Amino acid sequence: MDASDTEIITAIRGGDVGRFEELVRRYQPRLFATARRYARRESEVEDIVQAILVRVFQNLDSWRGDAPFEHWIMRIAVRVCYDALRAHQRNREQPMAELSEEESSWLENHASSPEDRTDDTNAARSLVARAFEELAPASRLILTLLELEDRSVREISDLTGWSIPLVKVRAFRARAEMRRILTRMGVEKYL
Amino acid sequence: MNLEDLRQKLVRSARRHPVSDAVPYAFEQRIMHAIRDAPAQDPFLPWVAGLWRAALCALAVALLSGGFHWRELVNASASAGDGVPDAELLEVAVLGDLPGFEPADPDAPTP
Repeated sequence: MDASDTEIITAIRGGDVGRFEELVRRYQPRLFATARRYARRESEVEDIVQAILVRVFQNLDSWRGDAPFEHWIMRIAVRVCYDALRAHQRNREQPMAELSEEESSWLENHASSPEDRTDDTNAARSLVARAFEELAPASRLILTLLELEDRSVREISDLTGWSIPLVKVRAFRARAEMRRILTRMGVEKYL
Repeated sequence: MNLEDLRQKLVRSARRHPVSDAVPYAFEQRIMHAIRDAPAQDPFLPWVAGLWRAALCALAVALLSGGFHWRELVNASASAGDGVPDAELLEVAVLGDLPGFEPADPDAPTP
């Protein structure tokens, strides 16, 4: 039977640093999925996950066990991802390109139709990714957590350390910002 | 359909596209090397941010209370009509509570 998180952490605190590898193996898939929502390329994903896990290790003594370890590690993950987004802000890569054929086709097919279709999620993901690239870091973080990961306002408050009213205000502003970006991308002509 | 409806539809569709949770081969080995090579965290680092915030708050409180105290002295002096210069009032307002502080004698000859 697998050891619990608490047992492994107790062992690590007792000096058995090698046990940290078990925690890494247990949580790295989830951390990779999280980091991929914020990184620009795969090499950056690995750097982000490494930064998360190093910070987890260095702060293990501060986990008191009053919340599940998974919540605690995800809190660190969100904050490291937010730091990475803010670093992107300082190192913008390239201006917005025109819509691809796939993206234009998605907009033509979906913009006038009220139903949600399940086909061609790749084009939607690509459009959202392009729009998210242009968002301010806080806006992107909020919309990723709230709308892509479908988390509640309370969960987001807990993960980010922001108050609930601040989360709501930022969500409102983020949605408005995304609408402006979509307008700049030229999606309005498909409405 | 308006822009917000389209935005929500776009996000709902993107949500259905799964994000990969694939892990590079032997990534845990990389992590174990990284934690062994990482410098030990400064134990005072968590205190630094808190102390800076406390220092800024203390400065803000000092400025506010000094300003308030000075205003009180100005108002008191104006109603008494003694014509004490603002600079002297400011000096007393900010330094008045310090032990050993003596306000300058306005009648003393200037050097």
